[in-house]
Amino acid sequence: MKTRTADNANSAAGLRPAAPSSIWGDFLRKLCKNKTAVAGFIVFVSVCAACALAPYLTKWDYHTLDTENVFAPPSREHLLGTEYLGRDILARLLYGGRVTLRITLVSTSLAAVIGCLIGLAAGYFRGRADFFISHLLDILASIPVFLLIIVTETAFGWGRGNFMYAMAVAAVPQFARLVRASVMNIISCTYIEAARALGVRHSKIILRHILHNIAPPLIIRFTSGVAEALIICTIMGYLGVGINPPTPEWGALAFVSKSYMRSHPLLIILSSAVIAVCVISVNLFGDGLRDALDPRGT
Amino acid sequence: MLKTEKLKKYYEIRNKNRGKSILRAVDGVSLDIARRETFGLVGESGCGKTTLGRAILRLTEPDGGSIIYDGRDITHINMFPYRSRMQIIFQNPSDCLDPRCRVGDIIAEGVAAKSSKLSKPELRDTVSGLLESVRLTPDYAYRYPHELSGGQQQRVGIARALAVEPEFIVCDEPVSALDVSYQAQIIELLKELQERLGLTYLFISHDLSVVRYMSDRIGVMYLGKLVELGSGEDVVREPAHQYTKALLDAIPAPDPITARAKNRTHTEEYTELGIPDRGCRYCRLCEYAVPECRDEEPELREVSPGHLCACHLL
Amino acid sequence: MDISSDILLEVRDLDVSFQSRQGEVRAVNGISYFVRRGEVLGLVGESGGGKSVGVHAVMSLLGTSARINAGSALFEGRDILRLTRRELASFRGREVSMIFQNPSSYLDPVFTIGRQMVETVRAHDKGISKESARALSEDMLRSVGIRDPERRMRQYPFEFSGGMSQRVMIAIALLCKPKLLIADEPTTALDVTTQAQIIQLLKELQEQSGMAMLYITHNFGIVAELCDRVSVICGGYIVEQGLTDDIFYHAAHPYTQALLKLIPRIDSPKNETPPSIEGPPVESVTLPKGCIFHPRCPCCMDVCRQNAPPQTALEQDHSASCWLL
Repeated sequence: MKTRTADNANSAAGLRPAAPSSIWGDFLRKLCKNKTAVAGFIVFVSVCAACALAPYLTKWDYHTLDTENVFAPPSREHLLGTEYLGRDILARLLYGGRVTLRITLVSTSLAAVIGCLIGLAAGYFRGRADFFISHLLDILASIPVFLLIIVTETAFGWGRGNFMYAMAVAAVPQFARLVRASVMNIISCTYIEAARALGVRHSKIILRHILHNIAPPLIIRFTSGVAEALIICTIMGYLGVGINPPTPEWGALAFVSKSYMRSHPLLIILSSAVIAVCVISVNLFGDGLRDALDPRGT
Repeated sequence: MLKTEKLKKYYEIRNKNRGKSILRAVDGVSLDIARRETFGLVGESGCGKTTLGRAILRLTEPDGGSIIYDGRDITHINMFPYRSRMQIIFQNPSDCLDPRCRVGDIIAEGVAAKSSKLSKPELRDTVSGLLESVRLTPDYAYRYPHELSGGQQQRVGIARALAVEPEFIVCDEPVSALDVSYQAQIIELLKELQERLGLTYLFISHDLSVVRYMSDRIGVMYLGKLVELGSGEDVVREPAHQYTKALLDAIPAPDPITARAKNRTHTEEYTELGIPDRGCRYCRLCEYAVPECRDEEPELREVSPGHLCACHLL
Repeated sequence: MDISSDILLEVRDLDVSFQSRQGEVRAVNGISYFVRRGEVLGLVGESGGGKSVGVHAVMSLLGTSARINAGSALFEGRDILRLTRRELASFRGREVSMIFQNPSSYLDPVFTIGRQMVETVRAHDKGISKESARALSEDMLRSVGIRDPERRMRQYPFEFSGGMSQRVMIAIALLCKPKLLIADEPTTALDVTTQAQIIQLLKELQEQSGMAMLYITHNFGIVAELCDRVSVICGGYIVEQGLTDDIFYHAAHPYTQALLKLIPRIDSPKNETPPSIEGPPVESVTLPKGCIFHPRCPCCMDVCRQNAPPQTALEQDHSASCWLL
């Protein structure tokens, strides 16, 4: 009973030899198996792409008025018809999407990066820094998002840039708190202690174990953050904060078409539908990401 | 090789109604471990044995006393040069492996911490070699920890510790969380590695029968203090301290006849009594306690050559 | 004593499988065991051997991925696998109670121990007043060796150490004076010293009340101290069963023999390497053909690889499934 190797133990257990593959390969394979996630991803990306390629998809401009042709029904000329000033609806939707999606994505990414750094600092090094950061975040999080945005806009000027930064600042606490909590959770695990015992440097521990392990909640938070930002952005557009006419924005489009809701419902239906489609697809994709990022699932 | 002198680690506990109090987790422990020796440390949970092991590796900073390793005081110096010489194996194998890293990456991290200049194929070869030394096949490098059984996870934990080619390993209850059949395998593996690589172990466990298989010398800890210290044979065959006797008695009988001969009386739970302010820490449970035991804390005294015990009755 | 008529729980040909991503996991493959009134049966085997599943299935405690393919479990003549939800609720706790490996996760952290105990009493006995339920709980806590039960009843589960929570669990389990106590590795997570106390406590309580006990463990040392009879389970099969003494001194199955050798012995000569069983426990996904133990068996023969061995009766109550017999 003395000579024993794992080889025969292996074959006895009938375990398959695992094929060498990268961690991201695994992740992509798992993600691709999830049909709803792939569908969500495709829908969201194609909406983004369509908006980005707006100048190539439609010959119309978002601000060209065609007063003789108001409320035109969909036709070969105007694929989705025109609105009350005779502007092409498709063009306004696409160009509006450029504004909305850009604000959404940029502000969320900004918030994610800043929140991640703040959360890491607070969670990993603890102490005084953590005390100040946590309280600052609590204060920030207690201010309503809309108030924060309106105050920023009034203080620093009405404009798309400030609007974006204000949204980013408003979203930072959520990211920072999540990262801080996850980091503290991970740090208490024995494998961090094992890495410290091995003499692995702080920077490597952060990069390798902590970022790796906070990535899944962070990515999921990012997708729901995008969805939330999209809603906030369109609500602010609807209220007329931040984006100035004639710049189209999905929320603003919904606002102006509200008056003609009964007679010409097409524009409000379309503008609301794109918002809903984007939010839903992002959320579906996020759910798929979460499942795929867990190495325990198949 | 390793020596601790009056090592102390205190924790502050905030109590719901009594405010702050100090928990003397490790309270002045002095021990020495010779090269290529296995020093067994026994005691029940909460007696500070794990804290002692971690304090020796400076994974938690000691509050007093000193650690001397290889003739140098390492109590306050930067530990990075010593990290590769002293390692630790943990109790819970599933918790000590990063669930998002493959086994190969986990071990490679240790290899890279020791020598960062290895090329990728060299690294892979080293990892395969380490896996083989713990009797796993190289293809385990591509598995995730959760795909392995407890025994295999513990082997990976050992391989990671070996990756930096240490001389001294703290084995913190390496088999307590495992099935009996795995326990035996891991103990055998640790013994074989010690012989082959000339390792020194500090073997921590709550189970004297496991410690005995491994250890040349055994130290018995009770509530932060070392109460008995001696060769494995001395401690097991001629236990001097009442607590050691209680530990021995607690080991389940190996067969029904011995079990029937054992006549245990059911005692009340006593782990929650806390540490007395003065006197022998075991005096409240000791059936031979004399008034002296309640007033004065006994020091370690030699009962026979190399066999020390902290008890007034000797 | 007439032994055959005094059977409290009899499980026959129980077969349980799980649906998993790797396919069907055959956790329990037609096991039969029985517990007599007032007796302690030990169910011994490695983890993953199906010992817990085989008992949890009887108590209908398995999750949705489990399926009971065949078998019956007669408790005093009633098949408890076919109880309705309502019957099951009054059956559990009153007739049969369970204690588990990690007691802290079975105690609700937001209620005091006292409240949880009183609720348990009143759930099974609607007529009892709060005061008498409280008194009953206090008595029960005292009998499991908890001092100052009045104060302890006002405390929350996190204020109890591992050994203490296990005592509380035992107290709760015994509140309704069950006829059978199922103990699922109650001391595995505990220290050796605490383990010895809990076992001693269980032994005393069992002797006092005369209830039957089904003790699941991987530690043969505990079996020696506690059990009257033993069933050894491996890979979802019961490979040997018999009286404790027969198993310890006349073990017939190589698996039992191997497990017995694993008991750490404090009186063995120094530096003797502990024996171990070759290879890992059987994976339930890929059960070997023939005898369940043959890949690890030191005396494996050709026939063992081909056919599963039949059960051979050796003495009264002692039987084993091995081709060597």
